[in-house]
Amino acid sequence: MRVLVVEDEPDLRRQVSQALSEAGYSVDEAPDGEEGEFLGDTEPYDAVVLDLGLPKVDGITVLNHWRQAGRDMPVLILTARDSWNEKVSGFDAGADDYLTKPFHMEELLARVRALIRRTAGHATPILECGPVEFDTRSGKVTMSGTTVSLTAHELKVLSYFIHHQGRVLSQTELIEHIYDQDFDRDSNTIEVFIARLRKKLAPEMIKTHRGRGYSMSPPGETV
Amino acid sequence: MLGRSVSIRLIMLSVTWIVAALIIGGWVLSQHFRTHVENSFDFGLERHVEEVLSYAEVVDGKVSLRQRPTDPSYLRPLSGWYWEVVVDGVVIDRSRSLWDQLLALKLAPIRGEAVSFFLNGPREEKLRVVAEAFTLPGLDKDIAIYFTGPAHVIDRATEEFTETLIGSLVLLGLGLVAAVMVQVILGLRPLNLVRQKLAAIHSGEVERMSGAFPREVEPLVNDLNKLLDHNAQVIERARTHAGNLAHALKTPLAVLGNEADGMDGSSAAMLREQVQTMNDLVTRHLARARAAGGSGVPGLKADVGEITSGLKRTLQRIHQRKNNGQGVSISLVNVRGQNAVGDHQDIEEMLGNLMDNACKWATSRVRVTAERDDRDVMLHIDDDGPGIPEAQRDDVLQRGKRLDEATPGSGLGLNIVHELAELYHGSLSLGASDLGGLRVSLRLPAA
Repeated sequence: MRVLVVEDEPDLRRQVSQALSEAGYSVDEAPDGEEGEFLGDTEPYDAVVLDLGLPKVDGITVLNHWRQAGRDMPVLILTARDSWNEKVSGFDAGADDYLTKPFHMEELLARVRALIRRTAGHATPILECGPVEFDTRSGKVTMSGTTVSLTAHELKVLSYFIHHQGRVLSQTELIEHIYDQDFDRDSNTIEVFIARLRKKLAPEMIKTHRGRGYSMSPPGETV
Repeated sequence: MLGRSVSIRLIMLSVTWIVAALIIGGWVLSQHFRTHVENSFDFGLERHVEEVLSYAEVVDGKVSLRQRPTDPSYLRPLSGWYWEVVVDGVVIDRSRSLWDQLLALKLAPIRGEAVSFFLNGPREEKLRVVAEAFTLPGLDKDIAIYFTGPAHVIDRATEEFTETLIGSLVLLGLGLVAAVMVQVILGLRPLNLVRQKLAAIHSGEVERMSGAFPREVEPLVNDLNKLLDHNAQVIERARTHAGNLAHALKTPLAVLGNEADGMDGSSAAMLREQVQTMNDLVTRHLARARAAGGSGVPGLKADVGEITSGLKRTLQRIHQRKNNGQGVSISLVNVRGQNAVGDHQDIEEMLGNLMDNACKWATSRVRVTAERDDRDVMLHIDDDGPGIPEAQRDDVLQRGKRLDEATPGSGLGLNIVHELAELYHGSLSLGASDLGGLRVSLRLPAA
């Protein structure tokens, strides 16, 4: 899951990015509206944390541009502007959630998690796919009730698969959503992670669709 | 009163002038007419004088009249129409109408010059007299001829004229006063227009003075508009400033709070507590600073329908995870077209806090109802949550105290609403809702 953080205050940006990274997201950062808008336009993010009072281009304007261009990733506005007038214009511009500063980091993480989950069409924080259960809050994975230990990268791949279960995901899509911008991307590593996941869960959990990509679906269901 | 209204002042002054001018004009006219009537009267008498003179003849140094004037008025006894011919103080002839009387003449006319004067006649009636003295050939004395006519003829003619004159002048006066009033009302209409527009601005119907004003009033209107613009700018600037300050203070507070969350021990707890306190203070004072300044600022009107529908959209998204993911259903009743006196953002802030509180406490439903009476618009925010026991309602209202720490921010929100409501001469009250929860009623002056 890739998240973009657009925040001009360096300390806060670092704190938010760090917390999101620790929670298992691949995080890109932008210090101003211009760069934020560019990244949001060009990279496929699963969620955006957007400040409103940004240098160069205001957050509301950035959001408006994205929505006009058809970019529909969930956006959480994180701002010090707490008047109802600003909240209404934030939501009207197309925000999906609104959090005012100061805030508790757990609150931010919970909201980002919920945003991603809802966007993928899941109502509960625990996602299931056949015998596999994934707790989005703790990142805990169980296979038929037994805890499975996964590395950070394996978890990222599994998280993306289980959020989008039942759909064929291309290698490019997986790479784009799993690695942040600065990561040296190598398509082979994806294959390695998938091989490891098949081994740790069950081989039939992740299917290969020749020339198209991979899919994860409960056993017995076909894509 | 005279000093307060320009219209009344103008009308009173004009009426004074009109009355004075008409009285003086009427007096001059009636005097002039009287002189004219007297002159005509005298002219008639003078012709009789000349007639009698032509009848006079001197025989042996004695004067006698060959013939007497034939006008029957001079024959009817004591008619007021008399004549006398006097030579050297002796009456040598007189009209039959004088009967046995003589005119009490004190004045002897000077030769060659007709004089006229008033005299009391034999019956003490007022007479108009024309007298003239002549020299006759063969007579060494002057002959004086007096003719009189009743003065009441002159008086009556003058009176009749004066009556007509007064009638006409009163009519003229009324016409002039009416014209003055029309002029004043029409002439001062731009001022009235200014007053109406000001009233409209005060009630929040319009934001600026618009329309065409005459040159004399235009500078005033322009200055007023500038003042109104300036006011709006000041509010906007204060608001921007407050927003910037919020950003400048709250971001570092967020950083501090996050750092504290990552630390252990008592100092971290203290830090968290202090950050929370500072945040509450910042929120409260910025909310106050943002308030547009209440009803003291003219020209403010807020569309309740627009505000509540905007808030409904927003709040339904904010609270969409409530009620097992079904969210809160917000219904708006009769809010369309309702306007309150006040700044849009201030009213939005009040309603936002109240509706947000209702959504936080509600199980599944929130309803906003607007009611309008003569002066005020009453907004009821109902929810189907737990409500507040009657005994605690005053307490909640007075101190904006948090009754339940589990749902944060409710206390502070209510407090700000209360302060804003008072600023706008409105009021806030709590009651029981027919939905089962709390009913918060906000009364605001209607626009």
